[in-house]
Amino acid sequence: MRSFFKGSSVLASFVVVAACASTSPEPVATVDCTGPDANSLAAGIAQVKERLGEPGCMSRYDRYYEDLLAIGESDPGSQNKKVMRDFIAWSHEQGLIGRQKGKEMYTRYFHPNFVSLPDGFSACSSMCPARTAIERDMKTELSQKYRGAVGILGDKDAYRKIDMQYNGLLLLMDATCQACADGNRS
Amino acid sequence: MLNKALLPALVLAASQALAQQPTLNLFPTRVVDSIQQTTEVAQQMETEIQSVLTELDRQYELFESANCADAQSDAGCVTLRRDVAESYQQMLDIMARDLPKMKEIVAEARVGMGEKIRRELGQRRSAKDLQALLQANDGRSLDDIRRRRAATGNRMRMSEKFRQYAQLVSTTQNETSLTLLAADFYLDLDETDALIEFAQQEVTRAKVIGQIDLAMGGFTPQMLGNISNIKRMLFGSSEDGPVLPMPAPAIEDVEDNDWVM
Repeated sequence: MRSFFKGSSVLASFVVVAACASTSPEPVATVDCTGPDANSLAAGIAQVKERLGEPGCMSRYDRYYEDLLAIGESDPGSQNKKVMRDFIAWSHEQGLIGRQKGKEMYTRYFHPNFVSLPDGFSACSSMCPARTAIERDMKTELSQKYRGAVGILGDKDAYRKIDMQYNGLLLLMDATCQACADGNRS
Repeated sequence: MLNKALLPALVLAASQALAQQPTLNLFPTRVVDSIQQTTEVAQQMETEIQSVLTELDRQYELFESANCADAQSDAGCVTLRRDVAESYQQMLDIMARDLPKMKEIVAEARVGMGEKIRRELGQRRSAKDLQALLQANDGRSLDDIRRRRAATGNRMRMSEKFRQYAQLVSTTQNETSLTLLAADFYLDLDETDALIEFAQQEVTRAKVIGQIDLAMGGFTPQMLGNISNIKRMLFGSSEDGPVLPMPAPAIEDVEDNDWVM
């Protein structure tokens, strides 16, 4: 083992000397995984797509999505909805994200539906026992929807409707879980 | 191959089954009857108590203008003090007579609504289904309810509150609006039940204390406080802002296929 390290050291020295002796060294390819620095969402997405073409940058997908949301906030407008939707669809086509994740990423910011709600099984058995956690997640999602609707799309009216939807849901959840609890008691 | 041939037929059957799903009706007939009964009992109690309160106000004005608080031994003041205390007892008697009946009707409505909501929303539907229910509204009827509620203030006469519920149930056609109304009404019944129970305890306590005071020929500041509480409980106060929650409006652009990959 010791002789191997000794041998490796000699070999490394040889490579360094050879590289220094060369008059025109081959450029070392570096992978640029930095975030987008564009001012518009479309330009930012073009940069991100380029970065994601590099295998070493794929793991930064979630970070890039966050960067794109930030760019969208600096340049709000209704056109951003389609731009983001197309980007997510492209990501899915490229195999970067699954369909479910793509749908969730889009819905969390740009759709009135709450992905925080559990699906399947009855509300009494799946929603009410986890009520506190669900409401906490919904509150987080509501702030994401605010960011999407007001910050990125510049659409306050859309957010007003989402907020109403949220309050209506809380009312239904209150009554449903109260009724489920009353049923368990009787 | 067989599966492929069957698939369109199954999809068609499923969509037909969905289309034929019975309308969600969360207001059973007996609950609607209970709302009507509660309105009538509350109205009767309020009318009787209102006349006693008017008399009490008149007596108390006399009591004040004659400076009876400082004239403990004056014969006229003693009579006046006794009259006030008797009117006060009369008010408590009316409440003690009517509150149990109201409590019974409210409890019956609450059980009926609870069963319906538990079965239709809690057991037959998932959380996502509840969300879908909210999206099917036309918005207009919900806006009407919201405006009406915003205008009524925080507390209102119990009879008026139930009268409004009865009216909303009979005039609201939209399924989503009715669902939200049912949820709101059910929670309100819970609060009303607790309020009646609290009122009953207060009445019992006030009667005992009042009888002691009456035996001693007294009219106490405690009685004044109780009268004020009863007025607020029965006839409402608009100081605290809207109490009825605002239902969600229509979400116009909600489509399941809003984003399809």
